Amino acid sequence: MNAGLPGLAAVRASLPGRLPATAPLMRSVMWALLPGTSLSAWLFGGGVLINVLLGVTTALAAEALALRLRRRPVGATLGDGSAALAGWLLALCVSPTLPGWQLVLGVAIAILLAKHVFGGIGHNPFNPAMVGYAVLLISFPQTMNAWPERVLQPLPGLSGSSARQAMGSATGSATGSASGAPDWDALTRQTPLSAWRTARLDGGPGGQGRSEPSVSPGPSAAPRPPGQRPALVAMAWLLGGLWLLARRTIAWQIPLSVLAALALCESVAVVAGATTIGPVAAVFSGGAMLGAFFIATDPVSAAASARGRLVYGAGIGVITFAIRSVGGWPEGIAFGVLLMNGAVPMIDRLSGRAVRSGRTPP
Amino acid sequence: MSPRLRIRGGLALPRHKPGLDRPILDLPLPPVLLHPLLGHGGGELTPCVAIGDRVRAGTPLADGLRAAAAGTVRAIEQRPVLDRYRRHAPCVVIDTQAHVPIEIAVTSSITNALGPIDTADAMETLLRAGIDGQGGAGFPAAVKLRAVRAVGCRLLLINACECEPGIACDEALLQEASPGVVAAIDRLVGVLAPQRTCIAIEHDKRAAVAALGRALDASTSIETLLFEPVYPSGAEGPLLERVLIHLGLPALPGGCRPSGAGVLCLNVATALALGRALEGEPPVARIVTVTGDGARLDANVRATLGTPIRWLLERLGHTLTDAARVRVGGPLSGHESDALDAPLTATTHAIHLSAASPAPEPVPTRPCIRCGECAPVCPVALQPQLLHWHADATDLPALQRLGIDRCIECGCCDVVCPSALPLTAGFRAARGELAERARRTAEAERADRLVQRRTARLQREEQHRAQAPPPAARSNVETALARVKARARARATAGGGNRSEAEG
Repeated sequence: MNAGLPGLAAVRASLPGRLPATAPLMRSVMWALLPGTSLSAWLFGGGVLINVLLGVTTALAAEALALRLRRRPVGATLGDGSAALAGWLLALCVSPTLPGWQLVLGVAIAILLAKHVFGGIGHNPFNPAMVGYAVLLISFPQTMNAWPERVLQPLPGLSGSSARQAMGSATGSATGSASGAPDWDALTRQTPLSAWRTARLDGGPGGQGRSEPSVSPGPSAAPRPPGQRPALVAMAWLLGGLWLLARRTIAWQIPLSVLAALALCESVAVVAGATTIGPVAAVFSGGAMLGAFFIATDPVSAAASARGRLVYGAGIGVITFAIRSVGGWPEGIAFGVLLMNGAVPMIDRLSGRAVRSGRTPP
Repeated sequence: MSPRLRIRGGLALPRHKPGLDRPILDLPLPPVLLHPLLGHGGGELTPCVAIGDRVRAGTPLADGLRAAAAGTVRAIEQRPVLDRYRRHAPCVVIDTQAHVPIEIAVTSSITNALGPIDTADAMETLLRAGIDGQGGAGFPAAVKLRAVRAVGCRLLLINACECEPGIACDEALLQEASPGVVAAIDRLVGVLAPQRTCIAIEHDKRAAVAALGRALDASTSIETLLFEPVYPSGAEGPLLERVLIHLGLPALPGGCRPSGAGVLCLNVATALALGRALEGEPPVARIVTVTGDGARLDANVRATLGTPIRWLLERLGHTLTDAARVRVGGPLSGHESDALDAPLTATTHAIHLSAASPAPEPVPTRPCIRCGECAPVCPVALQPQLLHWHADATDLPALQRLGIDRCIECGCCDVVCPSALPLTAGFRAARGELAERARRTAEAERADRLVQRRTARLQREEQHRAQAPPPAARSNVETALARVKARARARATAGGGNRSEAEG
């Protein structure tokens, strides 16, 4: 303890359970991303790791450049990890086979245009990673939707039939090579959600005619998502996310409301008799889990109050469901996040009004 | 025992109550007392004594200010004060060494508390006692009492919650003098006749709670409400909100002081001072927690109001260097000062001395990432992260819409902010700006009203002149002519004998 007066610093020091500063917070999120990232690399191919390295490096370089141009202290701000995290998340959202220069472009746009043009950390109205993702998706739909065929295969060690029974998977037409012998270079235009969508639009399972854009980092080889590999990866994201919740690093309201709204919409659709993948498959397929725990929870672009965050997350869930079922894209979580980012000022204005005095305190 | 209550939000801070292991130290009268001529709102008071006047304990020095001891007014001049906003203020300097004939200071018509109490008289005594709240805000008790008298007292809440680390004066008082406090409250109850009377105290003050329980044994009309030790339980607003819910009483209407709704909340030391005032004792002293780098300083001290801090500290055996600084109040609600020559006032509940500390180095702050940690700890349910955003942009209407007027500046948001932002300081500045604008607006409106009145008056006169003057002028001429004619006639009839009279 310093010999000074017992001001705020002393009180801060005496409270161990506080939320860490930005840098430790971002580090926690990165730790939580590790299991899912490693699992993705193992199941989807080493391209995932290369993408993450490339994304993080580009993000740090772009951040350093922007800070230097804006005459801000480079070292302190670069060390907060927010840029690296944005690069990492964007790299996880794209296909492992995406050309490197496209990823670099996407990350540079995320950091320079979506973040620093608005004033750097704390001031960006839209999630930088999702802005970069949307730009890439619209600019390079071919490469963005080309996923290695390997992601569609059932897991090694499981027989095809048991895998089918276990995960409701793989009717084969999308699966190029035999299981257990991945062809690293084989590409498919299919992801689980797009295959499902195509099948639904064609009126039968396994149709492979159309190329559909996808948001998902976790596709599988099935008309009925999720596939085995993406579902496993989704579980890894869930694990990391639960760890962050336990550490109170992220606000519980957001992932809960995103997933609950998505599952609820799917349930209503099931009850209404619509052709749908069902609530459980919905939250374990596509980018739902990664988006709910790691992307929508970015505090800067999310709603600020607890009630506002419930509304914000629920909006993302509903938009994701709407885009998946009736929209033009097989996956909608990125657009859900961006659209609700845009709605945050309104949510804050409506929910930020202080509670009237006289209510029962929680 | 009632269930343990908890205010909304707040922080459970580690218990740190200095000086409770020893009895309250009574300090003698210092050679000089300083009474700042400052009102509650920061305005300066006009003294009603002159240099050379002899005063007694309880003699009014200005409206709402009374001398704490007998002596001679030596000067009325600018002296340092322990105020958050100003370093100097005009003070009445009383020399207590000067010889004063011994007289019994009587400020009340009631000298026998056991006799029948005339409540109207007693109320007047309370209103005139010049007692400022000793809880920290220093709100004049008379203002509250007057408002409560107008509407009738629904609830008398004695606030013994003292939740900030480093402050223990109320706890020491209860440990040592609970019977006296309860007797004082009983007397107040006799005057105010509240429908309910409660004492709120945190349960972790075990010795104080036990002493209070023993003292309350006889009195059954006073309820004890046990609170969780959460900062800022001692703040009137959050405490009252919870108490009213617990008692099933309606919440306070918005924008209204509690006293306006018949709810009187008094700090426990203030209640004691008021009870003593009913017995004819003027408010002369308060208990202050003195703590510091050296352990020998940890004590709760009963000192005369107006005692210079330097004298108080030296009396406690501390050698003061030039670099010595003090923190007045707790680590969160208090503020730092190097004005050691400033006097003790009713609001000085704690003094933390740092023998030689440099000015605190600024903590590096980072941008707000809207993590929202500050919202759940806010005891008045504000959204500090949104307030911060608008305070940065000095968007005053947005700040008002978000309820910045209700901020009690407790500093909970500062503690939890992971970006170490000085949130409360920003809110304080914004509130100051709002108050300044409101003042200017009021002034402008007043000037506007005056101009309008003047314009209207000029118009009226103009109209009057436009309508009335021509006949008036004519009649003037006519009367003048008539007078001249009359005079001529009079002259013609009476001759020139009384010319001078007629001309006059």
